Amino acid sequence: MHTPRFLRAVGVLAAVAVAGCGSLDVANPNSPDAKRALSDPTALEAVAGGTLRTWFNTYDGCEGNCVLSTQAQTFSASWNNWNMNFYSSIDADGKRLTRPWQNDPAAAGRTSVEVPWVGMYSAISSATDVLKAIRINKQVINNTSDTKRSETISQLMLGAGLSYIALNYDKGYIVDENADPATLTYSNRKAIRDAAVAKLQDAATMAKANTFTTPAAWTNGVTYTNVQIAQIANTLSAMTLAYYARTAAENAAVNWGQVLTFTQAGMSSGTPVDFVFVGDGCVAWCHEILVWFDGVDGGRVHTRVANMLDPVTQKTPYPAGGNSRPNSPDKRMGDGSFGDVSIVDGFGTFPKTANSGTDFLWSRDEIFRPSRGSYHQSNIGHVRYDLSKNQDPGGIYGGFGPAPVVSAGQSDLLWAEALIRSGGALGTAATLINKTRVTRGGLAPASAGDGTAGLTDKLAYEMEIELLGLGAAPYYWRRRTDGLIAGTPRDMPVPAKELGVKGEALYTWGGTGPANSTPP
Amino acid sequence: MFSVAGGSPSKVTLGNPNLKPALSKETEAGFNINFFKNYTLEYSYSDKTTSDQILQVPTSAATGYRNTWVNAATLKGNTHELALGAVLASNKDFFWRVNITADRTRSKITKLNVGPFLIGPDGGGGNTRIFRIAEGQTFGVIYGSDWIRTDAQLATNITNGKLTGTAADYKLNELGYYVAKTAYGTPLERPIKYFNKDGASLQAIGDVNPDLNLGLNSTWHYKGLSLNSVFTWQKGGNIYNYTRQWPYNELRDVDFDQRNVAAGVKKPQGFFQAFYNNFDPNTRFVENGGYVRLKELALNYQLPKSLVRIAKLSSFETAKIGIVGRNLWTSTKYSGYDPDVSGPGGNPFAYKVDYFTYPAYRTFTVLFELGY
Repeated sequence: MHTPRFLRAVGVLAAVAVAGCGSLDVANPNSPDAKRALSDPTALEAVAGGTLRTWFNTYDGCEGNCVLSTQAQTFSASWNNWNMNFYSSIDADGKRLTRPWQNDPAAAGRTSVEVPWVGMYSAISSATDVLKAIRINKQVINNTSDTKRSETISQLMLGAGLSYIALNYDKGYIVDENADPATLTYSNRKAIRDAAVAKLQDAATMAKANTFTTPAAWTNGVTYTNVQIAQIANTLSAMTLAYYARTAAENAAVNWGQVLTFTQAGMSSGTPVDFVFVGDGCVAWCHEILVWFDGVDGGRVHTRVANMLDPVTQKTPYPAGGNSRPNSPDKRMGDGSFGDVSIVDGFGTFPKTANSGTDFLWSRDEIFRPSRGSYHQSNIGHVRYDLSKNQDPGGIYGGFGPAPVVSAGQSDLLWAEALIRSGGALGTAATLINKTRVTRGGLAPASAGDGTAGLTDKLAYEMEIELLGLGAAPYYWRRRTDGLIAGTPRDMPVPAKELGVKGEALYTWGGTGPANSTPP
Repeated sequence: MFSVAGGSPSKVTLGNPNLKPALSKETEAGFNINFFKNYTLEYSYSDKTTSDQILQVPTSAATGYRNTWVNAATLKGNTHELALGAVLASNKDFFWRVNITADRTRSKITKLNVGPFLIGPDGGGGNTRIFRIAEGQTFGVIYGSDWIRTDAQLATNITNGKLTGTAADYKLNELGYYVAKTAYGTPLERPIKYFNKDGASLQAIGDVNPDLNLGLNSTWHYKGLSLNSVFTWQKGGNIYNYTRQWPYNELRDVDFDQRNVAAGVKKPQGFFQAFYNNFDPNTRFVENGGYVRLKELALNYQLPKSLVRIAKLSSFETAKIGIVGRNLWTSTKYSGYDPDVSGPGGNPFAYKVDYFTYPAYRTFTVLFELGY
């Protein structure tokens, strides 16, 4: 008598169990799985656009890049955020022999080499996913034009990601849509450099062959035409070749003729274009370098650079009692006045005069702890990208607004350098240098009559002043002109986390060991 | 799996379609003895082996993912538990019972299908990756670096080339650290990091696992009055004190106050600041986490029924007043706020670190209870 009732009960329980199991298989639109993200055209296009965000945030992230900027004594900060104090401090012997990359899985300092590596390979991997979907699996995103747009941007970011690896690491993986990540082996930095340039040039070729405009959402507010993408790919190619050098000797061996060719078709050619995204206060889009160093109390311009702007008032190393108000002939600094009287108490500035600078200010405040070394201090702050131009509490650069990544001016300077180093027209080089030297700085024009040595000096000045805040570009200049303090690493090792996954021995660069790998 | 931010997806965790459930086998044995009428003794031993343990492990960056879930390990653990109960007095007006408990647990990774890696409470990108996952590794062992404190360590560092000169060029200072003889007593006096014979500084520097956990629970009644107390005792077990390490970079630890240190043995700020070590784990901040604590003390009084009636609480038959205090007293050598830390990950076993953890609150609760 009880059997039918029992069976019904079992049946109901089974039905509930089955229904329950089914309900666990829920698609989460906020965390899509790979199959969905790479097969749905809309999602695939979002992955393509997302490579830009990942690359921007890594290229201008403070992990790694703020350390490089302070190691190069371009910016200065003794805060230990992102390990800046550890890596940029100088030991009693005037060197950094105790400060190699801390490439140890338990070391807090490991993040300086680990985070950029992970970030760039994230962008590279997503780019190759898109390329594989389009080229091998023949996915179509809406139409041919949209498909080519995603393919071109993915190719660009593949090259840009590899470029960063080549510039910073002694070795890494060359990933593309034909590679199996499970079986990849390391390639040396030179091979990665060449692969990066090849990918970037492929992107330039594709951009020139197709007509499109990128969606504003891909950069959080800026659009680029296919022509501009080609210009950007060329400048990134030039940067890859030039910034790659670890030493002055390697710099001399750069193919400057090729750099010249790339820059002539780069971001300052034709109608100049800056490569920028729009920050959202570091919710999803973040130029962390500027958040930190375009804030008067976050970081400062190293006295070494400040001294170039005004040798009379800005002594280096930082003297006891600080440096007095500047009176620089360079309009980018001027008298260092800034903002209005309302911010004097907060930032130690003095109110703007008719002779205020466009890029730099003076502040009486010594913002760093004296015990960490007075040489970290500087009275000069960088405010070129402060949108408010007033540093008031509501307007301080907080990661909002246009965030410069690579500038047309940067491409001009590389163009000028290529001309000088390849035996090109010095008059043209002088003209390119004068775009910032005269137009922005108000300094006496450079000319062919300065000769190679004179123009190189003026170029060096512009490189030091103009590249501040544009990724780690100032570091690369210092590295390839042998300007780094002894012991400062010139290569990053493969991160300890990656070595652990592959069961390989830990190693590092810098300190008492070699600063960089032998040129391949 | 991808995460989506700013409208764009990026890779996070690599899916594993071949993931299968972990399988645990547990054997437990024990006994329960009642003796001398008022005494009980319980003991149990459990041995647990978990195969195909699911672990989140790091992946190669070439995949674009940060980690993946795999059936990566076989874990073997055992637990001893002992409980002794005694009724020390029992008559019409007076009753007193005492329970003592003890336990000890160890877990070890006996097989690992992936390379060794470090984990910690605040994730892969955080500072607290100090526990090593490796074959043959006991859970809870802390990894970090050490400072030269012994003759043998000094000799090793001279042999492996990390230090120049001979042992005569170094001196053991008053705090137990070898320093360069030329720097001793000067503003440049610094501790020297130890590297083993292979030149590596990363090594086991502590173990969070207690030797033993003990509990003492006493229940005492006299007429309407009752007193309950709970003591806990953790014997041994290290705590890594990140909370103390951080202020070393800000010169804010009591060690920096050298006012009451005898002339000639005062140490410069740089000596102590060296232990900050860029916030990397090191032996300076591995502390004995043992403690004894009066976890709870409760005093209650059952009001006589006559008093209940006088108070015109006629709807009720019983009334009780009392006060309960928790975390009233602790004896420990631990220098932090509280040795009873569990770390930000909330796992009191594997992630027992002091990482700005709030101490347990001392609380008092007043009780008035009516019954019917």
